[in-house]
This record gives sequence, C-alpha cells and structure tokens, in this order.
Amino acid sequence: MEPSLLEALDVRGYSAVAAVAHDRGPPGGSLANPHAFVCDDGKTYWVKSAAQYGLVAELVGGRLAATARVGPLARIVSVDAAALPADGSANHLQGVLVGIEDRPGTVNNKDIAAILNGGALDESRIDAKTRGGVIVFQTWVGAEDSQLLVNLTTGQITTIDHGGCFGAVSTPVPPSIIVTPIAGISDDVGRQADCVDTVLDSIEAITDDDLLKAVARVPDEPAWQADRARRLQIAEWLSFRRGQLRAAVGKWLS
Amino acid sequence: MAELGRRTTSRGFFSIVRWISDPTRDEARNVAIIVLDEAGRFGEIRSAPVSRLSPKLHEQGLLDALLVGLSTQLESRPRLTHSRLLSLHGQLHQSLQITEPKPVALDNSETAIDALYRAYLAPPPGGPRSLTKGALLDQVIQALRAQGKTVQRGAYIGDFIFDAVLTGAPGPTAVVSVLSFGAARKDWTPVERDAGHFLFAISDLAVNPQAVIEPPGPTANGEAKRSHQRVEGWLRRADIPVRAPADLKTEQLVLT
Repeated sequence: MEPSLLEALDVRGYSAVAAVAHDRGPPGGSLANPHAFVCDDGKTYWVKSAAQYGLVAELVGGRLAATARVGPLARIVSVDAAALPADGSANHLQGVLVGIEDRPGTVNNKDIAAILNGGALDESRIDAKTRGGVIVFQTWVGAEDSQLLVNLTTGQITTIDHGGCFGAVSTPVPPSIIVTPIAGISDDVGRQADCVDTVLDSIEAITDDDLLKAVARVPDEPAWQADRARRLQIAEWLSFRRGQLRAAVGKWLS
Repeated sequence: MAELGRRTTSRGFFSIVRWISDPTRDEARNVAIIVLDEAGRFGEIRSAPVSRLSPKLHEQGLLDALLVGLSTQLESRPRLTHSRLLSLHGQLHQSLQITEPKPVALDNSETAIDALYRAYLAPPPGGPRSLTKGALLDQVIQALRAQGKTVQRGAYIGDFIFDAVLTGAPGPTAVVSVLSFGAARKDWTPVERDAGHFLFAISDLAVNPQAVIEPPGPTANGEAKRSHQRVEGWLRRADIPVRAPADLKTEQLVLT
C-alpha cells in the first residue's frame, strides 16, 4: 500500500463527535473504566482513554466491525471538562478519545456466567448466524482477549472491545480461528457455512482503499499509538489476512 | 493531526422529567428534558409527544398541564435555576420525578438539547408514526399554542371531558373534538361513540364547538370510509365546523 495515499487521506484532519453529557459509569468488573456519554449526534458512546494496543486499535476495529455489520461503530469522541460528572469519577476521560456506540439490552459474555450461576442459556435462542459472523470477524482482526455482547431478547451476538487487536502487525501472519466462549453455549453454534458466508463476503468486499480509510484521520496523541507507519502496517496486515480468511474459516468448518 | 471545527464549550445542567403512571410498579417513563445554562440566562424544556406517554385522555391532560407549568417556569422571571431544579429533584418522588441535575456541555444549546432528546426521549427508529387520535391531538394542541392560544388538553367542562378546551378568550369557551380515521383499526365504533359524546356534551353546554378530523387514507377499508361519512354527517347536521389536519399547517384553525 502506498504511504502517500494514507497521507492524502490524513490531510483532511479527523472529525469527532462531542460528548454532551455523562450518562453512566463503567460496568462492574471493567478494568478499562469506560464511561457512557451522550454525544452531539444523539447517540450514546462508551468512552475509553486507554487500550492494550492503543486507542487506534479500538477505533479501527470498531470502524471495520460496523462496516461488516458485526458490531457497534467506534468514533473519535471529544470530551470537554463541561461534560464530566461533578464527582470527578470520569476526569480521566477529558480529551480526544475513542467511543464505542452503546448497544442497549445486551450483556457482555464475561457477565453471562455470573448471571447464570452454573445454569445455561437455551442454545436455540442464540442467533447462530451472528455468532458465526463474529467468529469470522474476530479471526480476521486477531482479537486478543476477545469479547462479545449477547442481546438477551433477540439472541444476536456482536463483537466489542478491539483494543487487544493489532498487537504485532509488522509481520503478516495467517489468521487462526478465534471462538469467543459464551457460558453454556457450544463453540459449534455458528459453525455452519450459512452462518459465516455473509460476513466472509462482506470482509472480502472491503478493498485496500477501504482499509486505508479505516486507519486514516486519527488523532496523534500518545494514547492512540497511531503514527502513520503503524497505521499503514495495520492496513497491510489486514489486507494480507483478508486474503487468507476464507481458507482458515473453511478449514475450521470441515 | 487537527480536529475539524474544534469548539469551545460552556457548562450547563440537565434533568430528565419522569412519569410513573403506577407508583406501585415503579416503572418510570422519560417525559421531558430540562436544560439550563450555568449563568441562568438560558433554559428550555423539550417534551415527548404526550400521546406517546399515556393512551388515556385524562392522564394526557394531567401530564400536559404539568409540562406547561414547568415550561412557564423556564420562560418567566426569575427563571428556573440549578438550585430550584435540585430542590424539585428532592421534592418529587411519586408520580412525577425530576432527576438530579447533571452537567451538560453547551457548545450549542440547540445541539445539546437535540442530542439529549434523541438519547433519552426519541422513539426507536422505525417507520412513520400512524396518525392516531392521540398523535393528531398532539398536532392540534401544538398548532393552537403556536397561535398563542391557551389550551387545556383532556379537560372537563361540567360533566363532560373534551379533547381540547381553549380558555382566556372572550365569548363562549371553545372546545375541540379530534377524531382520526387515518390509523388502522378493526372497530370504528369507539370513534363514533367519541363523536356522539361530543355532540351530546355541546348540546348541554354553552360552548363554541369545532372538530378536527383526519379522513381515511386511500388504502382504508370500506368500514373506515362509511364510519367517517357517518360522523361527518352528524357534525354537519349539528352545524359544527370541521377542519382537516392540513389546515393546521396553513394556520386556518382559528378558534375564538
């Protein structure tokens, strides 16, 4: 990929939504200490100030998840002191950070086990197509510490928390299957061709130009770990793995 | 890398007005957003359409009156302040609640109110809302208030409840019946009974009556069209002016 193409995209600068008001504090047990803010587009975002491999990982993962329709969109969020709660609990979130669109009515897979307390979800209530799609996507982006959300009404699964992606992107490596466990649900739910094909097609339709756009126009503060060379490596790494993904998934299905 | 259109921001406060129809169940619904600036120069309330909050006309009337009361406090001097909002939060624990005022970034007050409205009050995205009687009544009330009229929703005169009652003008009190044949339903007899109640009420009171009727749509079934013709015939024979909702947009709904 041509560095000059990314440079040309970056020239326009980044656009951010502005936090308008604090909505709620972090979910119990969250190490990242995200807080939800209502932003000026009328949507609520979970704002994070740190991620394992930089805020760029969370942003790019979220942009691509939304494109592949497997997870909520991530956006750059500008949090002004005026939007912070008076108790100081979210003071660490002042600045230009990353936000992941809120998905009401969902539960993190890590919390499901605690809720069930040894019980199990009815496997037939899980939407196998969305589960299969998330497996394909998380395999593509190489999600470390992968997480997902389960909509307890519809059974639909979405991918979240992509801060653990793109840790080692200097050398492209073929994808290996990532199945994020859901308590009480077999890892084979979603392991059918008709559950993975739609998302495979979506990912293969993402062009190299699209990948450059996904990594472009990102703040350059240290927490983002987003210098241009690294972002270009991320795009090239994803491009390589996109070409290997169908084979890796096919092997898992067989 | 620079952010496009970087802004400067001042602080304000917002509270959500919540309505608990049945306090024993403690199921609150978000009714309105109140936004104030820190300096006390600006204050605005934006509410959800009342018909979405309750299907009952009498309850709609109560809610509407409460919202009008709050709105008046934001328009009058001295204006509703942060400390007064905090005090209302402390006082109201039953059917009506006001959440503790929280900071809001007021880069642009309209943008902030729009964002809070969309986050806390707007219905989930979907198709266009069907024009039920309640939705039509929302429009009628809004149009009359835009004309500067003082309107009560779901108000009694004597023993009779009316959809809208206009007060404060000279002459007989103006009353409005709002009927919709524009929403899908199987049984039109409740609409006919509604019209019959209105006709009986005005024959017993010295009032100035008027009706706003949404006609059946082009795909409506024959029963809807027959019922509409029946009701319009009753109103015509009683010499009651009938307006169409389109008249609201051209401000032809003039009541004295």
